[in-house]
Formats: sequence, structure tokens, C-alpha cells
Amino acid sequence: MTILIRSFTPNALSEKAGSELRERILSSYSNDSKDRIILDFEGIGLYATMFFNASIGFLIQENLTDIINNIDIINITPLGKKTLEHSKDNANFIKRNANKAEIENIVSNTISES
Amino acid sequence: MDSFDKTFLLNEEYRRSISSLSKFAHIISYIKSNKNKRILIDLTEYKYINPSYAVIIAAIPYIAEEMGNKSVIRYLANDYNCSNFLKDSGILKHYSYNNNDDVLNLKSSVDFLVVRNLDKSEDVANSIIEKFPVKLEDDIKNELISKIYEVFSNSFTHSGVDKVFCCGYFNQQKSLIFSIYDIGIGIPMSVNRYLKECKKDVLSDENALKWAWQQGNSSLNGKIDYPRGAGFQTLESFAIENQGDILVGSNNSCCRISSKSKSFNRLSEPILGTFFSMQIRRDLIHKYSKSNNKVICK
Repeated sequence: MTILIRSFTPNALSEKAGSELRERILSSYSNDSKDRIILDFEGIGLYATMFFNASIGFLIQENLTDIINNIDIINITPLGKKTLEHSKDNANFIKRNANKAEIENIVSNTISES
Repeated sequence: MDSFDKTFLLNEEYRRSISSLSKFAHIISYIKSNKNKRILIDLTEYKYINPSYAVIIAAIPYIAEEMGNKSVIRYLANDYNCSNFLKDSGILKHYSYNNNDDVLNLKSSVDFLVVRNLDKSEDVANSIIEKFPVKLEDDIKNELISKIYEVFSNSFTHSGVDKVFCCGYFNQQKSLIFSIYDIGIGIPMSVNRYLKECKKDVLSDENALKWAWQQGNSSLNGKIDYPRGAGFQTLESFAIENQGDILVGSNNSCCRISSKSKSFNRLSEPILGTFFSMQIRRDLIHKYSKSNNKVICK
């Protein structure tokens, strides 16, 4: 299944377009299908972190690992790749810290109960 | 001779520094805390103003009007340096009734603009780049538009206002200065409002600005269903990769970031809203020339 980014947005800048990509990814994925999801950035020259935050960042935050591992990205420019990496790093950082805070909370609750 | 309630004589050298930024913050602060005043911004003894501050000077009449004041910018038409500063920053063009390109030096101007809608930011960024004196290669052009869009997006999303001011300058020493200014809530106030909602301790303005700059931090995290907080990091990387720097002033705080240092300080005078300025020193003209040479060799 290929999602051609330029079929719904002329650039990868806005959160709105990123949310649209997220919806398309989620509706393309089904657990029993072995088809990979290909994100084709052919013709896209402009990229901003907001676009990737709302799409790939969301998948990372929600721990949708099966979907993330099933995605291939093609025809992305070096700028797009760099912007995507920034967004992914940020999402992973937030996820790690959220998990850490959750664990600390469980530990402190357990200590106070005992 | 017109009479004014307050005159700000800008007769010093205003460099790209925290102390100079404080002086502009002082002007805005006066405008904000007064009403029905006639204010003169006097450039008749102009020495030097870094192009970073053109956006604040150009925004003054808008801010004054919004706060119920009137302002006038005065300069000597025969002062070559001052006239060039006003032309190159697009201020003259913006305020000129006789909007005649023949009399305006548009060679290095990234015109002063009032942007009222994030959806238009890409077009604005594009038109800014189109005004550059050289035709840029697609990769650097796209990178600049993307970063300018990123700055606009942060400003619109966090300031809570419906318009932002922007201005830029591309000088002969091959550096680009792009500045954006909004008179919204300001980063520290927005961060502390968020921390209060999260039942966390509030921070000093300089620490709140530092918080906003750290990876993963955004006053929108938890309010929207996807992560934010990558914007400043991206802009910092871009500025440093291009031998540039970033200067920010917001509420009582400011920061200066370059490849050599990163400092967060208290402004001696609080600035209304947020001023963001990025300078890059990449050799854009040379890059363009090299690509032209390749064509000639063929």
C-alpha cells in the first residue's frame, strides 16, 4: 500500500497535513495484512517538524510499534530525513520520560502503601 | 514643529546583543504602559542599528495604535546610512505612500510584513526567499522556507495573537538575518501557565525560557494527542550548522545561542511578547556561483 504524500498536500509543513497522513496510515494498516505501508514523498521539498509530530510522532507516542515497523519511506529529501529524525528523537524522548514518570509514580505509591 | 509626549532618540550603536535588545524592550514597554501619547522614534542622529531590530522599529506604529497611542518614525532623508537601513529592511516600502520601486533599494530587502494567518506562512516564506538578490539552489531555498515556516508556526501557536511581524536582511557579507516579533503572551508566561496547570513549581522567566528550549518540552504536550517540542531544537541545529546564531527576548528573559555558547539571562527591561531573530552566515552566493560555473563549463 503506497501513500503518495503529494496526493493530499503540496508540502510536509503543517500539523493539519500531518494529521491527514496519520489517518491514512491508520486506515491502511490491518493486523492480518502483511503489506507494507510505503510513504512516498516524491515531489515534496518543504518539511517541518509539526508535520512529522502529528503523524510519525503520534505513532511513537502511542507505542504503535507494529505500524511503525511496517512503514517504509521513499523519495524523501535530505531535509525531510533530517526533519523526520528530529521529530522522532523528540517523540522518543517524551515517551521515555513519560514512562519514567509513570514508574516513579508507581514506586512512590507502592512505598506509601507499604 | 510637532510636539510629542515622549521622544526616543536612537543615537547609539545597537548591536546584536542583549543590552541593545533591552533598549528596544524599553520603548515597547513605554508604549504598552501608556495611553493617548504621541511618541517619536527619532533616528535623526542614527549611528548604527543591527537589522535584527528592524522588525521592532517597524512594528512600533502598529503596537502604538493597538495600545491607544500614536507614533512617528523620523529620520533624515539625506542620511545615507539611516536611509539605507530603512530601505534595506523594507520599512520605507511598507510605510511609503509613494510605493515606487525606483526610489527604493530592494536589492537586499526582506520586506517588513504583518502576517495574519499561519496558512499563509509558506507563501510569505516563499516570497521572502524570492526577494533575495541571488537565485538560490532548491535545497537551500527549501531549507530556508521550511525553517521560516517553523518560526512562524511556533509564534502563531504559542503567542495567542492573530498577527506576527517579520522582517529580514540579506547583506553583502553573505549573511541572512530573519526576525519575527509578536506581542502575545510570551514564552515564560506561557510555560509557567502550563506548569501551574500541571501542578508544578513555576520558574523564573530565564529558567522558563530554558525549559521551552529543552528537548521534549512544550506547553502543548498533554493538551494535544501528539508530541511537540522539537521546533526550537531544529532551529538551533540549523543556525549552528550555518555558522549562525539565535537571539530571543521574551517577557523578562532572553537567550543567545551560537556554536560557541548558549546563555539564558534576565532582560534589564521586560519585552512585550516574543522577539526571535536568527542569523545565518552560510555562503549562499558562493554556493549559487559554484552551481552556475558548472553550467558554464558544460
